[in-house]
Amino acid sequence: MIWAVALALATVIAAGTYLALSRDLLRCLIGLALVGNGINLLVFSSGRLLSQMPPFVAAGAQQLAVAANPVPQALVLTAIVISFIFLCFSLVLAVRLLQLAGSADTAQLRAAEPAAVDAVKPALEEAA
Amino acid sequence: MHATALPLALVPATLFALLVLSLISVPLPWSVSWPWIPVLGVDFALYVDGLSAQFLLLITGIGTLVAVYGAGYLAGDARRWRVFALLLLFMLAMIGAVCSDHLLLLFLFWELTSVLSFLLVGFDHARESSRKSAQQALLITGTGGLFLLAGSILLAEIGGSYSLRQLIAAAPAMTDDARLPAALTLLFVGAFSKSAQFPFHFWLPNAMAAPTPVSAYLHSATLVKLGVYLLARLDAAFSDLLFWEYSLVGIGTLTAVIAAVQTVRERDLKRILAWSTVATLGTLTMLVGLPGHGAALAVAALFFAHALYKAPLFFVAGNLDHGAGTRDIDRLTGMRRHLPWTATAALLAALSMAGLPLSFGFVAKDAMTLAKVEAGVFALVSHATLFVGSISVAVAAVAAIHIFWGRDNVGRDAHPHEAPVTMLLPPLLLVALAVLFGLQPTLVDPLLGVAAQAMAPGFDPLQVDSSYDAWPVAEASLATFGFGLLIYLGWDRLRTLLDRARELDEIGPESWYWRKLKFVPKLAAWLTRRLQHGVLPGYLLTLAGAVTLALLAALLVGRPSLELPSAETLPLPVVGSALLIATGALATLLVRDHLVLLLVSGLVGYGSALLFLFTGAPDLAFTQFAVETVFVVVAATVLRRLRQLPPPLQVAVSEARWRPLALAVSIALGSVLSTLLLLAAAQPFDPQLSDFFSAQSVPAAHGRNVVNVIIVDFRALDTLGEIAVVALALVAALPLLKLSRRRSS
Amino acid sequence: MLVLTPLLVPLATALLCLLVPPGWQQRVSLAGALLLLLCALALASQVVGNGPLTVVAGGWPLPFGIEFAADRLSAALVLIAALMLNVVLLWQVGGSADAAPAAATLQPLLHGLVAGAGAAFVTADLFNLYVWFELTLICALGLLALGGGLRQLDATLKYFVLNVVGTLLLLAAVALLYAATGQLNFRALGAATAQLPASIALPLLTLLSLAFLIKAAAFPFFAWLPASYHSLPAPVLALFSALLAKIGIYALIRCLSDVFHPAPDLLFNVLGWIAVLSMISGALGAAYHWDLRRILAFHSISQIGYILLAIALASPAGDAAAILFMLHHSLVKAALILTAALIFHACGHYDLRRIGGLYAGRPWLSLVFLLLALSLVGIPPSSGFWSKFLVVRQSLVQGEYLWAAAALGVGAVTLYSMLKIWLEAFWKPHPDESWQAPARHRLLPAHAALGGLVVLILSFGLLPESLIAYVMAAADSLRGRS
Repeated sequence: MIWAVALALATVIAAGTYLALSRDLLRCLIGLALVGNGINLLVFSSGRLLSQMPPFVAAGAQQLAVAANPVPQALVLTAIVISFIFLCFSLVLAVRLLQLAGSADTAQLRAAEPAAVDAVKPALEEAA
Repeated sequence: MHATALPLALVPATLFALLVLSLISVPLPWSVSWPWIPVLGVDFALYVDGLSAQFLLLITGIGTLVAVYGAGYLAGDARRWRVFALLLLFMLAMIGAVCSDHLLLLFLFWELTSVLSFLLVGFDHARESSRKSAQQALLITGTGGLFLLAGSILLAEIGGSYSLRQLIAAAPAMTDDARLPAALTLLFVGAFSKSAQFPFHFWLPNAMAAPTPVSAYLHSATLVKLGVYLLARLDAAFSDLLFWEYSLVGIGTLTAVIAAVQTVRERDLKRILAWSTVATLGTLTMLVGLPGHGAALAVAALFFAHALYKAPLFFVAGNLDHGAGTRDIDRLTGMRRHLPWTATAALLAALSMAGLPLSFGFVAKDAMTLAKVEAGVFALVSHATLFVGSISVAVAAVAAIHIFWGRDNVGRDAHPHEAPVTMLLPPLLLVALAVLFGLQPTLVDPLLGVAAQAMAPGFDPLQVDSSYDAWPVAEASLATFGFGLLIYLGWDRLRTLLDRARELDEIGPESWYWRKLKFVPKLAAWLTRRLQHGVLPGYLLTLAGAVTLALLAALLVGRPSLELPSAETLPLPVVGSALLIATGALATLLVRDHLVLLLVSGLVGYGSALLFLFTGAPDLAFTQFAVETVFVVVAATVLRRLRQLPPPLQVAVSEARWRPLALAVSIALGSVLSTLLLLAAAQPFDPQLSDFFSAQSVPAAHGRNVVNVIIVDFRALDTLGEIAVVALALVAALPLLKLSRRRSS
Repeated sequence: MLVLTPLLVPLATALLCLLVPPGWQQRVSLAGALLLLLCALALASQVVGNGPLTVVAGGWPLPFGIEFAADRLSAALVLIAALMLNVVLLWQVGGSADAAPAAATLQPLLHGLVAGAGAAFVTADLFNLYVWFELTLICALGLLALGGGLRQLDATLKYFVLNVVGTLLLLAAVALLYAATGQLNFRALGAATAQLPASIALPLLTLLSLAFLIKAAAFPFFAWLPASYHSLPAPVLALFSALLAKIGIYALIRCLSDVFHPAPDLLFNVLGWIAVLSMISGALGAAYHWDLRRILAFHSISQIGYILLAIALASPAGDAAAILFMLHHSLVKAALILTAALIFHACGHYDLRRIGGLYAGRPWLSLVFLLLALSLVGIPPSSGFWSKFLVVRQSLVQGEYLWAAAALGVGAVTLYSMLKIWLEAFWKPHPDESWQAPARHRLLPAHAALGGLVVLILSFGLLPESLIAYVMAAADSLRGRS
C-alpha cells in the first residue's frame, strides 16, 4: 500500500513545489498548501499502512486489537490543523497584499527590497 | 573653558618617577601575575626585563613631555580634553603591551593601541582626508592584528604555552615543527603592519593628519615601535633561524630604502619626518634580524637615540605650524630670527639625527656599524644602509639648516612668532639629553646593556663599551656625511627628478590599497545583488534547488538499496484515492483561472480524506473533509470579492524564464521525498510507541478512541501548542482583517 | 515543574493580555516578563547546582510521554530569551525611539514568540519541537505584519513562504525519522538511529539539518532574513535578532552534537563550508548596505556563520565556542539594534547617507556604539573577542586552516563595515548643516534597557571566566546523553 501513497506523494509535492515557484501570489500559496498536504500524507504513512481497522478499543476490551497505527494519526491531526491555520493566515495576508499592491505578481513586489539605481550603492529609501 | 590641561601631565610624570625609582632600587626582571581566566589559561601576567624597562622609560618620559607640549599646542581648543583622555589611555595600553608576558594579553593591548590611534588620527574628523587616513590606519593595523592573533595561537600550539618566557625557553624544541615558518610569517605580517614595514608602510605618513603631539608620541616614539618590540622580544628565541634573519633583514632594508626615497618627495615637514621614521623602523627591523650581540646593542641604542631626536623634531614642526602657520618647507626659510629657541632645538636634534660626533645619534650609528661588521652582512645591505643614512643626514640638514638659516624672503600672511614655554621646554630638554648622552655614553650603558641582554641572552651588560677606535666606523661616518651633504645640496633637483617618476606610484602598495578599498563595495554589490535580488520566486527556487541537491547528494553518497516492500494486495479504495490525489495535483498545473485552481486543489484534499478513510483513520478523514471544505468555500468567496474590486486582478501572471528549472527541481524534490519515505518504511518497524498506547489507552487513560487519547493525554503538550498556534494566528491576523474591512467598506 | 515555566508563563501572560482591558495590558505584560526572568534564573541556578532537570508531561514513562529537559545549554538560552523580552518591553514603555506601534495584539504576540522559543529550548521530543517552531513562526508573522504597510506585508510574505517550506521540511524529517525508528523522544531516537545503517541515516539527518539550517539563516537559505528584518520596529527587531535564528542553531547543536551523536563526519564537513559561505556572504552583504538595520541583519548572517563553523568542528571545545558565540551574539546584536534606534531618534533616518555628526552631538551614544562595534568585530577585551578566539583557536588546533583563515578574513571585512558606520554616522558632519541633535525626552526606559545590556556585555568581556566555564560544562554535558 505504501507504494501507492508514495507515488501520490511524489506527484503532490512536485505539483505543489512547481506552483509555489510561480510568480502569481495565489498560485504560490495554493502550491504551498499542496506541499503541506503532501507532507501530511508523508507523516500519515510513516507509521506503516498495515491494517485498515480504525484504532478504537472495542467495548468490553482492555486492549486494542490489530488496528491501524494510532501515533501517526495523532501527529497528522495536529499537522492538518496547523497547516490549515497557516493557510488561512496566508489568505488574509494575500488579500491585504493584493489590496495594497494592486497586483498579484510577486516578482514585481519590491517594497521591502527596492531595486537599486546606483552602480554600487543600494536604493536610498525614505524614512521608515 | 580656558582651564589648561597642563596638570594632566602629572600622570605620566608620576609614572616616570616611580619607574626610575623602582629601577634604581629593585633589580630587574620584575614579574607579577594575577589569575584572570583560569579556564582558558589566560593570566594577567606581567614581566619587565631590560627591553621592557627601556620602553617603559620612553613611554612615560616622552609621554610626560608630550603632555606638557600638548597643553600648549591645544590650548583653547575644546577638543583637548578628549585628546588628553585618549593619550593617557594610550599610554596605559602601551605600558601593558610592553609588560605583557601572555601572548593574548599582548594582543589585547596591541589592538587597544590600534583603536586609540585611530581615534586620535581622526581628531579633525570633519575633514574627509582625516577620516580616510584614520580608516587606513585602522584597517591596516587591524588586519595585521588578525594575522598576529593567528600567528600567536599557532606559535602557542607549537610551543605549548602562551607565555612569552616559556616560548623563548622552548624555542630550540620548536625549530623542527613544520608549522613554525607559517606561524612566524603570520607574526611578521602583524608586526610589519604595526611598524609600517613594506608593504604596509604607507599608512604612517598619512597618519600625520593627527595633531602634532599625537604624531610625536604615537607615530614616532611608541606605537609604531610596538611591532619591532615584538620582533625584538622574540629575537632571543629565533635569531638562529635563517628564515628569521633573511626575512627581517630583507624587509627591513627594503622598507628603509623605499622610505628614504619617499622622504625626498615630500614638502610637508611632518610627512618628511614620518617617512624618515619609517626608514628608521626599517633599519631597526634589519638590526633585529641580524645575529650577534652587537646587533642587539645597536637595536637598544637606536631605539633610544631615535626617540631622543625624532620627538623634538616633531615638536619643532608643531612650533612652526603654530608660529608660522605652515609646515611646507618651500615656504619656510630663515626662521631662526622669529623662532630662536625652536631653531636651537632643531639644530641639536639634527646633529643627533645626522649622527655627528658629540651627540647620542653618533653613538647609535657607531653601534650599528659595528653590528653590521660583526654579523657580516651582504654588501647590498651595507650599501643600502649607507644610502639610508645619507638621506637621514640630508633630512637633518633640511630640518635645521634649510628651515632656520638663509634669507627669510618668503611672503606670509601671519607674523611668525616663537612658541610658548610649554612648547619649548620638551624639545629643548630632549635634545639636551641627546647631547649629554652623546658626551657621556656611559650614563646610559647600564640601560642599553640590560635591554640588549633581553634580546641576546648571552650578552653581558657590563661589557658595553662605547669608546673605541675603529676604521670602519670612521669610514662609514665620513661616507654617510659626505653623501648626505650632496643630497641636501641637490634636494630640489632630486625632488623634481623623482616627481617625474610618479607613474611608479600606480604599482605601489598604497595605490593597491586604494584600489582594493574601492573594490570591496563593488564586490559586495555584485554578490549581494545576486544573492538577495528581491524576487520571491527566485528565493524559493534557490532554497528548493539547494535542498534537492543536498538530499540527492546524501542519497548518492549513502547509496542505500531500495528494497521493494512485500507485494501485498492493494485495496481498490486506496488505489482509487491515491489516483484521485495524483490527478488533482496534476490538474492544478494545467488550469489558469484562480477559482478553478482552488477547486481542483480541493480534489487533493478530498482524495487525502478518502485515503484516510480507507486506511483506518476516520477521525482524520472527518477533519480533512471539514478543513478542505471550509477552506475552499471561504477562499472562493474571497476570490470572488477580489475580482469585483478595482483594479481587476489579472487572471494569471506570465511565468518567468526559469520554468524548466522549476519543473526539474519540483520533480526531483517530489521523487526524493517519496524515495526517502520508501527507504525509511523499509526499515523494520518498531511498534514500541503504538503498542504502549494501544495497551494503556483504556486502563491508564480511560479512553477508547486511542487517537483522541494520544492527542489529549499522552501527547497533550502537542495539542496545547496547536491550540496556542490557532489562538495566536487569529491574534496575528486581526490587524490585517481590520484593515481589510476598513478598506472595502 | 520549573522546566515547564518557559512555556507556561509566557503563554499565560499572552492569554491574560488578551483578556484584560487595554490600559492594563502593558502592566500585565511587564509582570509576566519579570516572572519569566525569575523562573529562568531559578532554572539556570538549579541546573548549575543539581544537573539537568527533566519532567514528562502527564507523568507517563519515557519514551511514551513528551519529555521536557533543561540542561545548561537550554537554561542559558531560556535566560537570554527572558532577558531580551524584558529589555524589549522596557524599551516599549518609553514609547519613543522607534518603538513598535502600541497595538492591542503586540504584547500577546511577543509573549507567544518567547513561549514558542522557550518551549523549543527545553523540549526533548522531536515532533513537539516542530509544534513550537510553528508557534514561533506564527507569532513572528504576526509581529511582521503589525505595521500594516506594503513594506511590512511584502516582508511578511517573503518570511512566510520561505519559512513555511522550512517547517514543512522539518515535519517531513520528523516523519521519516519516526518511520525509520518508531521513536520521537530524543534519547530513544538517538539510541535507535545508532542502529540504522549509515546509508539511510545520512539522508535523514541531512534533511533534518537542512530544515534547521533554513531556520538558522545559513547560506544559501538566508534570503528571508535580510528581506524582512529591516521592516520591523527596533525593539521587535532586537528580539528577532537575538532569538529566532538561535532556535534553529540550538536545534542543530542539539541534534548533531547530542541526540544523533556521532553524526556522520560528512555532515560536519559540509556544514563547515556552508558556514564559511555564510560568513563571507553575510559580511559582504553588510559592506554593501547603507541602512543600519539592513547592515546589522547581514552581520547576523555572518555571525551565524561563525557559530555554524564552531559546530562543524564537531568537538566539545567547538561546541563550547558555538554556545558562547550564541550568547554573545544575542546580547551584542540586540544592543547594536537598540543603539541604531537611538541614532534614528537623534537623526530621523536609518540610512548612513542621511545622517552624521553624532560624535559631537551624542558623545555617550558614540562611546556605546564604539564598544559594541569593537565587540562585534572581536577586538579584545570584549565578549566577541573571546568567542572568536575560541572558534579560531579550535580551528587551528584541529588543522582546519582554511576555515580559520576565512574566519579571520571575514573579521577584517566586519571591521571595514563597522568602520563605515562609524565614519558616516559619527564622524562625518551631518549632510544638513542646520541639523541639531534633538532634546532627549521620555527616553529613560530606553536608556536603562540599553545601559543594562551594555553593562552585561562589558562584564562578559572583562570577566569572562564564569561564562566560559559555564559553556564548557554545557558542551561537555552534551555527549553525556548517549
